[in-house]
Amino acid sequence: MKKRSCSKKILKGMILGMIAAFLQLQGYSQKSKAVRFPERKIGLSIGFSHHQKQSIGGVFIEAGHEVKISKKLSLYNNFGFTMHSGIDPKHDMVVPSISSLRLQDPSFSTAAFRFVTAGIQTSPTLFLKLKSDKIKLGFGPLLRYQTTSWPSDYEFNLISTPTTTRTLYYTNYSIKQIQRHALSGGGRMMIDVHVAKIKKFEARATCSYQVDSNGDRLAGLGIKLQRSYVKLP
Amino acid sequence: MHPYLKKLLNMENKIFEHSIENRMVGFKLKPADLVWEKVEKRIQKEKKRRVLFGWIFLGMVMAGVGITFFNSHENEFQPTSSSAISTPISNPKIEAYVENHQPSFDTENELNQLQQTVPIVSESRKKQVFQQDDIDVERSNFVSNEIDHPVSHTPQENSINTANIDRKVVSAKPQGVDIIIIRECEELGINSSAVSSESVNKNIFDRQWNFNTHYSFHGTGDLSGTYIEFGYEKKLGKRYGFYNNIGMSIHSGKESFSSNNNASQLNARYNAMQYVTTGIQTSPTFYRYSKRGDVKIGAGMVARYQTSSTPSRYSISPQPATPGIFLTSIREMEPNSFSLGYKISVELHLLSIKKTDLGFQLFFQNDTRGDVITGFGLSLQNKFKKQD
Repeated sequence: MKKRSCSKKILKGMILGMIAAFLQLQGYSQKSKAVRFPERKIGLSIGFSHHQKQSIGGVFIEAGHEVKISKKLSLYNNFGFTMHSGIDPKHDMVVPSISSLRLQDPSFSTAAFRFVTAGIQTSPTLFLKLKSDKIKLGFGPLLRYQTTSWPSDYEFNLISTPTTTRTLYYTNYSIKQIQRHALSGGGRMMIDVHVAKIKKFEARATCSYQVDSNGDRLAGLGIKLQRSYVKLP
Repeated sequence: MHPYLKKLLNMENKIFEHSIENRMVGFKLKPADLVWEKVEKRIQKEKKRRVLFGWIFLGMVMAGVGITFFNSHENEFQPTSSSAISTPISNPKIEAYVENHQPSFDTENELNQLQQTVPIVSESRKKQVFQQDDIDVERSNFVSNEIDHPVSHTPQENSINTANIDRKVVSAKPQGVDIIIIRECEELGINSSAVSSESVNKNIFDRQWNFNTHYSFHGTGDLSGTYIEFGYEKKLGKRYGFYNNIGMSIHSGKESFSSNNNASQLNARYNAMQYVTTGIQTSPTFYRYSKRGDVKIGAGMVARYQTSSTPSRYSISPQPATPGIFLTSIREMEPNSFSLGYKISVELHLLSIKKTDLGFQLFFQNDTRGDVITGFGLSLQNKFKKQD
């Protein structure tokens, strides 16, 4: 009888122990779940950009999402848009003064061709936080689609045709080589510097430089506005 | 307090309790046929479920995770035990109604009214009703969880022990509560099975991030390209929404005359000019949703900045030295400029996966520069609720 009661006690103790352990585990898992929510940020960057290959300026706009993956690292995924435009420099070199030519040929009119380059790109960037998140240094691959009106090889001519009364002028463009559309891969480097933070919103100055397989080099300087949030399970 | 007053209050309490008890003891409900059918179905389902839960419970105990079962039993059983009880939990509309119709002392009057309105059922049915009393009393435990506290809010509340009365009221009227809820469900036109998670989600998520990509045309189809848009949409009531966004468009095309000319195509040294038009725009849009929420129509203003390489005045002439080659003489370029306009869009909902929706969108826009941009494409939406 004593043995039975003893074994019962042991069994009871074991079951209670199991339940207690289970409850503790459950409590721990709930706690760890609560702590494990990673910090996320959604943001919009806007700024000036310079297309160095074509020597034309423009703007960039980028929507991005940042997820903190460790104390020092975060992954920034984005979708950006660049838009550059500039006038043909040859035109002004060949036609220094339109007004002087109009004195001879009043019907003369000419305009420089505008080079417009627009691109869509994405570059998943790994950010390294320095100086307690004040400065962030990022590197990442780049995938870019670009369309341009900029011809890599072209001629601009000013043609004069003397007549008996006056000299007639006209200009023309002859496009020899152009890469209208290009899909290219490359890399991008970014530096983000903390500017201000109000509640969940943060403003950062952002500076980027990118190179791709099409030979395009783009430098950007702008501002990034981010809103932090926690994704609920 | 004076002892005499205390005695008096105690007496009053007792009298009050007794009067409630007397009224409740004899209280019996005679549900309508329609109501009874529903109750009967529920009871049958519940019996089957009970057997199943019993086995599960035994299994769980043997495995040593009885605690987990206990928790999940509460979570699982509550919404499925009875449609009438589960609906108030999942549907805020009914929940609010139940809160307003807690079994207070006023409920008595409602029950009396109900008794009058509900037709008398046959004796056999009566027996059946009260054979199920034990089940209903158990179910009343679930009800009492929700309706324990706010039973009485009369001025007498301070002076009487309400806890006992609460229990009595609740245990005496389990069916009454159920039937009221069933009736209210019917009045509200809500079928418990129809209260799907989707409709609940629609109520919960009032904001969304949108990402739209379109195949787009600029002008009368001369230039084609893409239009990409990021936006934030907020619901204003049930049928309206406000959508703010920032969008970018890229359109391009070859100079049509020389590119269509066979001679220039044969001569590989020369190329036609490429025209690119790109713009950034924002278009705050008001949406109106259809009743089912699967179609929405929007209209709004457009503010757009555009840059283009398309000349506004130009001529094409053949090259004298090389026949078949055409040269472009540009007389005037379009300046980079801001413009205002309007945009109309229509969206058709295609599918939803969790919080993400996919839709098909069409749009048309026109601005003061005279540019017409049209497009069609997909809209990806991620719904959320604003976090405090």
